Amino acid sequence: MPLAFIWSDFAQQVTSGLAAGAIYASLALALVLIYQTTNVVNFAQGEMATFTTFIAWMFMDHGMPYWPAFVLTLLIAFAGGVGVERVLIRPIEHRPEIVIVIMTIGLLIALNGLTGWIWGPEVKAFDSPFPNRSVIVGNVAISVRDIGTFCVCLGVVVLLWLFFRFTTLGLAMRAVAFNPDASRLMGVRVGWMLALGWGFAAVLGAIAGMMAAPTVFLDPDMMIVVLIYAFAAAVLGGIDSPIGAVVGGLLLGVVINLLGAYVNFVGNELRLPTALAVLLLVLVIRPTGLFGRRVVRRV
Amino acid sequence: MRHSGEIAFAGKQLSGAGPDKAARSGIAHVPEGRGLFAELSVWENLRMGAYVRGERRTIRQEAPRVFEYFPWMERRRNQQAGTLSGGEQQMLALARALVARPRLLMLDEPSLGLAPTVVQEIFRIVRELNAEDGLTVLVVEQNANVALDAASRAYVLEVGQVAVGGDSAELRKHEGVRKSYLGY
Repeated sequence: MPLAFIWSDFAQQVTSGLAAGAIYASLALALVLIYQTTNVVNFAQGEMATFTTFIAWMFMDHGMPYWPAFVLTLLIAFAGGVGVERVLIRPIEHRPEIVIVIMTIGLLIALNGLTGWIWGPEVKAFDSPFPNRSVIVGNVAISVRDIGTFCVCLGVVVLLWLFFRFTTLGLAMRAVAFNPDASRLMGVRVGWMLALGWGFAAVLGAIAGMMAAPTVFLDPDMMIVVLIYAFAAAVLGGIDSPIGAVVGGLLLGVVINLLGAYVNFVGNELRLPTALAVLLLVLVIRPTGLFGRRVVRRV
Repeated sequence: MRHSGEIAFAGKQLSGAGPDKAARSGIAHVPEGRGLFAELSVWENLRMGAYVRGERRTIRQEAPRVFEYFPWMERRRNQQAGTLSGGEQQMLALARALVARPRLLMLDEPSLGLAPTVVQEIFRIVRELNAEDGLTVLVVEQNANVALDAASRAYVLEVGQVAVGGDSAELRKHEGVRKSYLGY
């Protein structure tokens, strides 16, 4: 077998791994956004994503073109995320963390049931805005859908980064994540910053859902596996590091794709256990992850 | 804990409102332990001080004034606040409070854990702010000597009650205060 062929095959696996990884990265970033402010993992993140993806499907089923439906869904996701924080999390925010965790698990079950009840349990096809063909770069065939998925996910991550880096509201949200008490002294309405965080997380989830749906197909359970990958990615990057979540997601996407393609015994069925093994290894060897925060303080 | 009474500032009721409301009504509070954003930079901490009055415009107007008091901050604006020394952190907390152009500045134990020279420096600046900008300052301080030097009026609190109060110079002469707090 010529070497060139192997190389192009490898590159192909990497690019499709990056596309999958971008989806994990979006959802992992959503988890990190909420973890930073509430110190809990939002177990309902996947179901929130699924629910909003079904809303997008509903719009398109009624004849709305893809991109308007996409944008409208993101707006609804944002409002929904803010609403969840205000209505469900706010009343229990000062309770022990386990109470909030249980609330998110309750929300997971409720949303999963609600999705099935409204739209039915059967699997639905979900359109991709990108054509299902490939472009040849060098001698590597790259799927246009993969490029599109990658660009949409990473584009939103970059937008979010610009927001946190360069706007007053973004600065205030970071300040709240680090020190809510001091933020109050600065006149920040901390409750609303937390709600905004949930809104952004829901938007990221909706994007992950809509980008994943064409490949995994739309059904009420579609994000469960993706959420596990996102968990693994967030923990790999460091659960309190946004950059870590993105790098972790991309890395995990590529590694899992390569393992599935090149290591015979991994194959398709063992991808998920591989992700869980990564999760376990990171927790045992380096619990703060690749980019985990070690606060430098001098007193 | 039972409590009664009310807190009002400049005619506005603050009782029961959160600290963010107090900040928006013009009170800047430097808490005990400083309440800095250790993970953010010096500059970002100052920007947060400006938040309450419209961050962008306020920081542009107020930064030069603050850097006049604390020239080192301009050079080290990108340093992470948590890596500053204790005295520098106290100064940053003070600077951050000043950026908001408060009507009332409240300092809680500003001398805590700091070297005497740093304490002197901080109180020198506080006195200057009071004398030159006419800023009203309320200081809670264990170090009675330093506090009485800077303040025009002082109160001694004992178990939540005002035990003695009045003009600082007179309080200095008060025998009980002298024996219990000044040590002579």
